[in-house]
Amino acid sequence: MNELTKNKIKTIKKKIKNNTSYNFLLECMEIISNEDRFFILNLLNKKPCLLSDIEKSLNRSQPSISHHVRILESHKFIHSSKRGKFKEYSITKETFIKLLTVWNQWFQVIRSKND
Amino acid sequence: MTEIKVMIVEDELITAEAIAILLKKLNYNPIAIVSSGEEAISKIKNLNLDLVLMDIILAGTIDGIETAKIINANYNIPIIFITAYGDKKTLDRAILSEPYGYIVKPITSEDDLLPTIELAMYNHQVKNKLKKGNEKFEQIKQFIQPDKAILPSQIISPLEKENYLEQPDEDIDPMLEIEVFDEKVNLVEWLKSFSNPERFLILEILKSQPLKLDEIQMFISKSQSTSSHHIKKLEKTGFIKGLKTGKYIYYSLNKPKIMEFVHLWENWIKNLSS
Repeated sequence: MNELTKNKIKTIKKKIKNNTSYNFLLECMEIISNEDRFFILNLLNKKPCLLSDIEKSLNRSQPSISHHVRILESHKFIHSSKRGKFKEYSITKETFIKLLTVWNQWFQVIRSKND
Repeated sequence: MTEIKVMIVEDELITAEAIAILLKKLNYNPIAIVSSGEEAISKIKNLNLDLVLMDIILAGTIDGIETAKIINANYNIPIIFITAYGDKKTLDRAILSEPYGYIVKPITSEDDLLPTIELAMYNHQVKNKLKKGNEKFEQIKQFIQPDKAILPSQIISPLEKENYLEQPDEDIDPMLEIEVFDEKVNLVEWLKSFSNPERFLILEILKSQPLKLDEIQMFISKSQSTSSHHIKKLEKTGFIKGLKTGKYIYYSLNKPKIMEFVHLWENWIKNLSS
């Protein structure tokens, strides 16, 4: 059988860890796989919302919502615009387009290897 | 022949009961009688219906036409309107919700129901066949247009695709919260396999070859128990499977399950990026 030497493993691992697509996917998955953040993204996808709208729909405390919104905003999953005194949040489509592209690259490899 | 399950949405209980009796005489199974559109939408999910008979004037806040639109958007169930209002204006509004038929009350005998129901069931079958045919055609079209990127979900075999078609779309009206929630739990659970750096690394390395536990352990540089824990988690979601070869168990990616995930996940991203 094809022996995996320690050096070979080290090389493969290094290659994976330096792969920007892999790191981008991992980061996206980490952010989206949280139930509350996933909920917020689905909510904003229906229509742009104020923080108070999210609070009402998700039924969580304001600090907790702010925390999740901050994470989503800092990773460009969502963005805000001014609506009077308040900030209105919407989905940043470009990030999801990029995610779909990177994901497709990752998944194509599975296909070609397995077929 | 399998029994055809029918829901009657009618605010007058006596009328509904009378229709139910006629349906039974015709060997249909009227499994539910509800009086409002809201009730119809909340019950429809668990009933596995074949047909809905819908009054236009209902007890709740939404009328039969609005209810039909919501059902049409989320389920593949034929709807026939039953109403005392035979005027042109109501008919025009009703047509927009693409009903399979329109019966004007009073309904006094089986003959008032049978032709419309039979025709509706037949038309529904034809429509389903056409839809499946179109799906296949779209798939083939993607293959013969080299300039167009082929997304993995479009390469799923027609059989797998048909199975997905039976399920309501992910993209569901906000009214059907439970439906959205069901989908959400599933997808988020799966996403968690990818969100842990060790588990994602395991999936990444299994892309190129099947591996034994000790090899996986070397890759993720964790203890044997931690490695086993991650493998068990991935096996539980079904993304990987172990195959005993000689003394050892070799783990590899479980492609059908990954395909299922890919389909849900890609639809979800596409929905957010379009």
